[in-house]
Amino acid sequence: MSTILIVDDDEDFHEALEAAIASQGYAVQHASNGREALARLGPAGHRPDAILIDLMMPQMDGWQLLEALSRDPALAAIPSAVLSAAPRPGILPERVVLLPKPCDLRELLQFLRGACG
Amino acid sequence: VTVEAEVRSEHELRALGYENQGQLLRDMSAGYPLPRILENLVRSVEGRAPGLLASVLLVEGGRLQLGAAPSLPEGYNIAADNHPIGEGFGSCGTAAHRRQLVVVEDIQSDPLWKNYREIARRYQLGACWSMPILDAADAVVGTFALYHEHPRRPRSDELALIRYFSELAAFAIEHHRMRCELRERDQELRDLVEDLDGIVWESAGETRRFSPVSHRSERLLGQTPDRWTANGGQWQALLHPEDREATMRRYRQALREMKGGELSYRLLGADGGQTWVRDIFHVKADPTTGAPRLRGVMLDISRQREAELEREELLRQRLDPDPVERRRAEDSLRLLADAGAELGTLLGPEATARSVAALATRELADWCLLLTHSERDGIRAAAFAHRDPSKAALGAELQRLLPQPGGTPFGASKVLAGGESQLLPTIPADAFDPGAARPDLMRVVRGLGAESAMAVPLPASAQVLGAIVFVSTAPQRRYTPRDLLVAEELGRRAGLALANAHLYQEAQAAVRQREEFLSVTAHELRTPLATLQLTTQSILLVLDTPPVNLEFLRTRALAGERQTLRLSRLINDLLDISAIKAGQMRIQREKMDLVAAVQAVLTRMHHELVRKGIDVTVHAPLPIMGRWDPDRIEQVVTNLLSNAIKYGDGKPVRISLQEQERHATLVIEDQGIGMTPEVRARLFNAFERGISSDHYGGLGLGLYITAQIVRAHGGAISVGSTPGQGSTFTVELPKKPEPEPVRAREET
Repeated sequence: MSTILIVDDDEDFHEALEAAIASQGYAVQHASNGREALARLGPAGHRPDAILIDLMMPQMDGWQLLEALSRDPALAAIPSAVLSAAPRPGILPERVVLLPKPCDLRELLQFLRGACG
Repeated sequence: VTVEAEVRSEHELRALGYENQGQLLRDMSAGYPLPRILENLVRSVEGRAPGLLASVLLVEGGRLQLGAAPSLPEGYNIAADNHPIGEGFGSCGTAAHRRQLVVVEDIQSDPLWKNYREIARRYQLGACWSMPILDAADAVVGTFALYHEHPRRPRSDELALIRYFSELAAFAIEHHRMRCELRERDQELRDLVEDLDGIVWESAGETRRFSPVSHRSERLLGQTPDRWTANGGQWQALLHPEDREATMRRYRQALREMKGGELSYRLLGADGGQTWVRDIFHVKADPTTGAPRLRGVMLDISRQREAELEREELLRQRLDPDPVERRRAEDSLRLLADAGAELGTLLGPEATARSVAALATRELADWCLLLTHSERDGIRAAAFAHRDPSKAALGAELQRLLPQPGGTPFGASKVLAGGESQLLPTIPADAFDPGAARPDLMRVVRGLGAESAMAVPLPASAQVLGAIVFVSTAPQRRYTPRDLLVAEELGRRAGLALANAHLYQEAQAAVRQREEFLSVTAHELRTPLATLQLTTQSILLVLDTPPVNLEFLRTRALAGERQTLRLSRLINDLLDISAIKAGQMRIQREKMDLVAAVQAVLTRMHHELVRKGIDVTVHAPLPIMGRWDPDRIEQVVTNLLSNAIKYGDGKPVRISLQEQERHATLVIEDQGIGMTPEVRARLFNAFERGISSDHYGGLGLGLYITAQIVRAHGGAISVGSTPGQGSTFTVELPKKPEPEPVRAREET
C-alpha cells in the first residue's frame, strides 16, 4: 500500500483530503507544518511515496519545507505536489507539481498514481 | 342743428390757456401717471366748452390707442381703441395720417366715417374735429379730438381751443416719455454700479456723511451700506487703524483744494479681516448748496497689493547698498525657487523631510534639523543635514538624543507648541530648555557648532506638523528678521509638501491594505470551498464504486456541512465589517447569563476542541446576569476562543468569569506563541493580524469585530502577552448600559 504525506495546517481541508485519498486505497500520514513534516521524514522514518504540501502554514511554511527537501537528494526525489489557495503562489522547483485549490480530485489521484507507480 | 352761442375773446382764451398750463405743470411735477394727466386736461377742456366731448388717442405701435376720453361712452371708447391710422379711418385716423386738422361736420354723411356711421349713431355722436399731436421732432404722437352730439361746424374759438390743447397734450406726452427714459437710464446706471466689483460711494464733504453706498460693500467687507450712512464717525471705524489718519488727511486736503485723486488703504471687514482698496474719487460742489461733495469708487486690490508688497520687499533687498545683503537677497530668492521645484515632486514624508533639510543647508544654514510632531509618534527628529559631511555622525547622534523630555534646542519646542517662530541672533546660555540641557546633548551641539539660530514652524492648515531649526556656525553670519522671513516661507512650503507627503503615504497604505485584504479574503474563501469540493468529489467517487460505504458518506456529508458553516461565518464577518465601517453596528440588549453564553459556545465548539485535543477549563462560580446582546456576546466568546485555539500551540486554555458590582469580567488565557508589544498595539485594528498572512489563515477581522462589539456594549477589551508564553484577553462589560463607556486600557 502506498503512503501519502499530507502537510497542511487547515484541519478541515486535511481531513477531507485524507478521507478522499484513503477511500481510494492509500495510507495517509499528516503533518500540520513544515517542521512536523521534516520530523516524520527523519532518517529512520518510513518515507512516503508522495508528499502533498500546503504553502501557508505556521512555524515552517511550504516554501521553507520545499527548500529543506531540496537540500537532501533522497527527500528531493520523493514526488511532491503543492496545493495552494494563494492567487499567485510564485515559482516552484521544477519537479514540484502545482495543484491549485479548489483542486480536482481526479487530477490529484492521477498525480498520486503517477507518483506511486 | 343747435349752435353754441358763446364766442370767446382772444383774451379769454389766453387766460384759459394759462390756467390749464398751470394745472398741467402741477400734475406733471406731482409725478402723476400719463393717463391721469391727460384725463385732467380733457376734463378742463370739457369744463370750458360745454356740450363738447374731448378725447386724446396716443400713437403706439403704428395705431391709435386710447389715452383719455372720460366723457365719451365706454362702449365707443372700446370700439375706437387700437384704431388704424390712414385716410378714411374716421377723423382721428385721418388726422394722424394727414398730420393736419380734420374737421368732420356730419359724421353720417362724411366719407371719412363711412365705416363707422353705425357706431357713431348708436352713441349719438354727430361731429368730430381732430387735431394731430406733434412732438418737438414733429412726429405724430397722438390726436386730440372734440365731439359734438349733433352735426356742426367748429367756431374759430373752438378751433383755437383744439390747437392749444393739442399742444399741451404734446408737452405732457413728451414729458412722460422723457421721464420713462430717465427712469430706464437710472436703473441701468444703478445696475452698472451694483455690478461693479467695487464700492461706489458719495459723501458730503465736511461732515463725511455718506449718502449712497453700493451694496457691493456687503460682499466685499461684510459691512452693510447702513454701516456707512448711519453717521460720519462710524465710517472712520471701518478704516484700518494704521491707515486712518493718513487717509482722512488726504480727503481733507482734496476737499480744501477741490481736487480728486486716488489713494489706497485698508478697510476692515465684518469678520475682522482686512481688504485693500484703491479709492478713486473726485470732488464736486453741490449744485444747490455749493458745499463740496466727494464721490468715488473703491476697488478691491487685496491680491494685487500683497503681490506688490512682496515685490517691494525683494526689490528693497536687491537694492541694498551692502553687497553681502544684496547677495543674500539673491540667495534667498534662489532658495525659494529651488524649494518650489524640489518640494513639488511627490515623495514620502521621510524623503520630504530630508529634502527640506538639504535645501536649508544650501543657502540659509550650516546645519539644519527638522522635527516632526504628530499625535501618533510624538516629536521626532526626522531629518538632519550639515554642510560639512564629516559631521554626519554627530548629526545622527543628535537625532538619537532628541527629543529631550520637555524640550528641544533653540526654542523649537515653543514653535511646536504655539507655532511662533524663534530668532536667536546669538545663542544664549539657556538656548536649551532647562530640562533638556543635558551634557551629552550640549557636547553634540558644541561639536556641530552654533553661533546663531532660527526655528520656524511647518504649518499645514490649522496644525503645526513640525519645526525646522536653522543654525549658522559662522560668527559673522548672524540671522536677521529678514532671514527669518525667508525661513518662514521655506517652512510654509515645506509644511505643505510634508502634509502632501503624509496624504500620499496614507493613500498608498490604504491601497496596499485593501489589496492585501482582497487577497487574504480570496484565500480564506477558497480554503473551505476547496475542502467542500474535495468532500463532494470523494462522495461521488465512492458512489461510483460499489459497494457503497454508508458510514463514509455520512461523515463526508457532515464534513461538507461544517464547511458551509465556515463559509457563512466568513461572510458574516465581512458583513459585520461593512456594518461597523458604516457605523451601523446595532446592539439588542436583553437579560442574559454570561456564564451560560460561554457554556453554549463551548458546547458548539466541542467537536473542534476534541479533534484538536485542546483542554479548556472554565472558572465561573455563579451565573452572571446582565443586559447584553446574546448573539453578539457569543460572537465575542467564539472569536476569543478561536483565537486562543489558533495561536494556543495546542496547550490548555483557561476561561474565567468574575462579577463585580457594576460589571462582569471575562478572561481568556492561552499558553501559546504570544505576541510582541508592537503586535499588541495594532491587534484590534481592522485587517491586522499578529502574524504575517503567510503563516496563519484568517481575515484578521475577528479581534477587530470583537473589540467593536465590546465597545458598542460600553465595555473595554485589553490584552496582555509575553512572546512564547501566551496571551490573556480581558473583556469588561458593564452589566447595564452606562452613559460613559469604560476606557480601553492595555496591560503588559
